[in-house]
Amino acid sequence: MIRRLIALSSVLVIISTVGCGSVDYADMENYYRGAPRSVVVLPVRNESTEAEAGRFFLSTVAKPLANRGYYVLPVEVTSTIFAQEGILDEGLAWEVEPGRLAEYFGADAALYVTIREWDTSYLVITSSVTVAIDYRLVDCRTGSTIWERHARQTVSSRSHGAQPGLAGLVVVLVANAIDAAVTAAATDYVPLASKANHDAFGKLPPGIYHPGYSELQETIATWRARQNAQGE
Amino acid sequence: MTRHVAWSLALTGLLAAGCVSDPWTIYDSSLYTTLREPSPETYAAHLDLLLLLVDRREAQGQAPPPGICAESAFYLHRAGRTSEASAYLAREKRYYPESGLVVAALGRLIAGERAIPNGDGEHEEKTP
Repeated sequence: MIRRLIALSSVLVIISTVGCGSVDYADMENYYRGAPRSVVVLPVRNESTEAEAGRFFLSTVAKPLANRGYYVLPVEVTSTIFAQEGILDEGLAWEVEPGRLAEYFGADAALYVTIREWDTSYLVITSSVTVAIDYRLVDCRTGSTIWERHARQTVSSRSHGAQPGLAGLVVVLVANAIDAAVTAAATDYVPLASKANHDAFGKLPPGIYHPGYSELQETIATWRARQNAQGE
Repeated sequence: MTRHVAWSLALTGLLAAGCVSDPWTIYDSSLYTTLREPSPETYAAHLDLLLLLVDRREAQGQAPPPGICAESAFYLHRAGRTSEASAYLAREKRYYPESGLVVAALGRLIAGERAIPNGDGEHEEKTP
């Protein structure tokens, strides 16, 4: 009975650590091969129409990554050091060889973020606010991509139901137009970006400071031992 | 007064009154405000939050979140409190040994030197 409880609690820890989808231990083993522990977040590539989106987005990254168990180099500090080196935008920062990032900052991995959408779109009398982001984590020693993810979050204005008669239709149209304008004006992109980060980093294998890290490593080691035994 | 400066003043008041139970929960909002509207008020409010976060975690016998002591040092330096900044850099390295290189770079920055002395500087803007 006690063994069953221990096994069950281990399963629950693994699920809370890596999410509830099926776990691919071979992928996990590959991911941890470079032992990524510290992460430098590079200036963000911004493909949206909002010029400041990249700078604002940086404020949302450190906390979820740290909560996932990684040492995250403070983004304001690294931005200032980049600026001192004359690297003022993502174009130049992304040209820096990952090996140099390890050499300069002691970073094991570099996070490259591309903002695909950070927009409000209007469709007649409704509006939707969308944030869409690509994440790519690169091993600074090998230069290879070890994890990537896309996340998208949208908030739409609600549409009021039909009312009988012409007067009812006018009321509905006016209500929809007001809702669309209020949604577009009041929706702050940053909470949406935070939700996107939460979704994306929730799928990132946990780092060394995550409470479930040790147990996950033991589980991977057990899986590896079983694989090796089956192969003999 | 813009709404972000107002937010910073409100944050300073809440911190002073002890109304924020876990400063980590509002860390990203505070950083966002400083990035969106850099000013002495927003920097001061963010620094107050960082120092409170370090104090709270240490009082609970826990390490502050990664990078927070180094970030505190950065904002202390900006506020002209350079001697305190050095102490926070030392704390960052003690809690997170992997921070050694970035702490050293920030230490040089605070000392008015080039943060990456052996950087190739190929992107550095040359003054005529």
